Amino acid sequence: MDIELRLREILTVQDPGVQLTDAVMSRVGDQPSSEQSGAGISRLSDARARRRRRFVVVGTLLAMAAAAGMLLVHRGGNAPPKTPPATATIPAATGPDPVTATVARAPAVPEVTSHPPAQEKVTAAPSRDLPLLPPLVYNDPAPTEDLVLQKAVERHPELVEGPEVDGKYDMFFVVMVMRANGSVISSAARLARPEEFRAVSAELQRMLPKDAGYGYPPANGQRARHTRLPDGRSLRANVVLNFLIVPDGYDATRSSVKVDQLMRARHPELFLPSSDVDMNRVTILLTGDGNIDREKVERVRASDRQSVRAADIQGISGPEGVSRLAERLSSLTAERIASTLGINVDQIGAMGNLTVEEGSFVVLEDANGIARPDDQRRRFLVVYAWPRREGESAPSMGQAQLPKPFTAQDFQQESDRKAVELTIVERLVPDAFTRRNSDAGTPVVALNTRGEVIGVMRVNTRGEERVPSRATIRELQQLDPGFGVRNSRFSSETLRNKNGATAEVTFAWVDLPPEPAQAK
Amino acid sequence: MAVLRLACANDRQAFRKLVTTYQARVFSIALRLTGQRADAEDLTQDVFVQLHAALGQIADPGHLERWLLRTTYHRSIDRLRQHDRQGHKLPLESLASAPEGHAPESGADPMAASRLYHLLLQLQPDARAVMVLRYQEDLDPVDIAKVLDMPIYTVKSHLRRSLQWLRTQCAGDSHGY
Repeated sequence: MDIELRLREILTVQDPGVQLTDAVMSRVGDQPSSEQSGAGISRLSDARARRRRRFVVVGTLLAMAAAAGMLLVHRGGNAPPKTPPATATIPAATGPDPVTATVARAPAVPEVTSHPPAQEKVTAAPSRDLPLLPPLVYNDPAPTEDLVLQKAVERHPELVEGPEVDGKYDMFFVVMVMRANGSVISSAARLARPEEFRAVSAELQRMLPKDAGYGYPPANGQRARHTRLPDGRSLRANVVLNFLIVPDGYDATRSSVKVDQLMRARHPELFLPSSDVDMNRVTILLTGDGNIDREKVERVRASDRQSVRAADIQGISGPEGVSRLAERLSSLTAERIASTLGINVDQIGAMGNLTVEEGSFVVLEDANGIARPDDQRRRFLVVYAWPRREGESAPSMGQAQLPKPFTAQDFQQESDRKAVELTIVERLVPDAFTRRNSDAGTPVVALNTRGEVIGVMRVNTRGEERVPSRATIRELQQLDPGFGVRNSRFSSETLRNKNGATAEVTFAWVDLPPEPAQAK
Repeated sequence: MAVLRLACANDRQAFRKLVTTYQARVFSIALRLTGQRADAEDLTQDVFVQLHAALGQIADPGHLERWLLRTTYHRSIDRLRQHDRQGHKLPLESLASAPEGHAPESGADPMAASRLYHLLLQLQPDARAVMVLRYQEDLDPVDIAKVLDMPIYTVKSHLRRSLQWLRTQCAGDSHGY
């Protein structure tokens, strides 16, 4: 992961809490209110409730309804709210740009606060009958990682057996290539000291096939040393787990890893520095048992190394063009291999391109602080073809098919979500379709984990298209400082209304803090 | 803007609102510059008390934001110098664990995050301030230069050199996974 992204991840804003606010107010001559000072010790849940109340303003009538206890039923999650909902909009209190937003609070907690009425504009909020938009559910990688780790320990007991590793930062690098049924195709584990990480990691990465299809990218997980496994044993050192679950039809005897190993050993003289303008390209036809049937070595311009020129595939684009593009790439590559090796296209089955590489690229800094890129990579290109087998009708790039296309059901779900998103936005941010985000700020709809809308705002992202931006997070935290924004999920959607107008809207599902036991 | 105007007019609820709005950012910057939670809490209080006295000079929300960032930076540097004079050292060891309150994203490497945080705290205070304003506050170099009263080239130089140093230090962590 890029260092800048990692910095943004670790440099999250931390709220010191309401106690600090009280301390500041006390120092500037404002005593905490009797409600806040209470018995002298303020419970966290009370603090959260107070923070929520700061942002909610509605009329006295609704407060009376709340006092009648109707809200308690709603908060308990046992019944839908019976009170007419209302939305309060308050001007943004912060941000470098005045456009940074109105915050619309959805009608969860009708209570009275001491905000000056001049700041608030209470509007009717027709949100009681809004459809739910729960967050999309993603697969949790942890169970898969645990299963892979279990298999890794079975094959490499040194991960848990033996004396504890001395170095705090030493790591086991583990590579596992498996099928979905849990059978292991290949694996390796190496203990490395920090100065060896780069070399060991690169060496083990070469064990991951490159021809298992784009839908099956390698995954990774980390486990800290001393992590206890289900059988009670503990990891001797930190573990970095690289694994690939290959598709069912994947043929390991035709793996790109075999081609890499074969060519690396056969042609060490073909490696050229990656900074060279030229590179060696080897085109080969393999035999069924993995030896070389035919081969041809060419010196080509690195910029011309692609087997297919861009001009040959011009005009093929869009989602529907993916399969056409794959077919076109396959047929063009097969023609080029056939003409290079003097064979017939009908002889070719699975094909692939592979860069065989050694060495590494680092940026060093000298004693004067001057950065110096140190590129020690050397490489050559292999274009390979396996002989066609019975049942194979045409040459194809890679072994596996492209990722499974969306099913009709997937499209239906997608369509349903779009309809719900459109309903919410048309109801709560109708000007999203008429006012440009660059002028009015990006509309952000905040929802809870049940899919209920809890707030709507406009956020000036200062030209950033990144989601979530810092500005978005800040505005969400303003909506309620108790929001667990860091655990939230964001999605940016383009919506089109019935008039054909489009709106770019961000949906944010936030993890609310636990509800207080009682609402006042 | 309305809240700021009310706060300037001595409305205590409005000032409280300003504190709750900005305290997390001020505290987080102070924490990353001083490396100590207790110092950061003290500094945050001091900054807002100072703000209360200076409200009449604040023209608009943008000015307020720059004022808070600049004051937090200067007070943090003062605190570090004070510690230096008293012979205190930044307790890096105690900060080598994952940053407080940080919930790593799913799939993130907690060990790498901890190490990166440790490395960040080893940067010189000026360079660290530039990095915090860039990656916590998302300020661009021009704004950072204004806040820290530094030449823009110095800011860019800090950013470039700090990133290079961090990349070099983390090279083993990030390669291949």
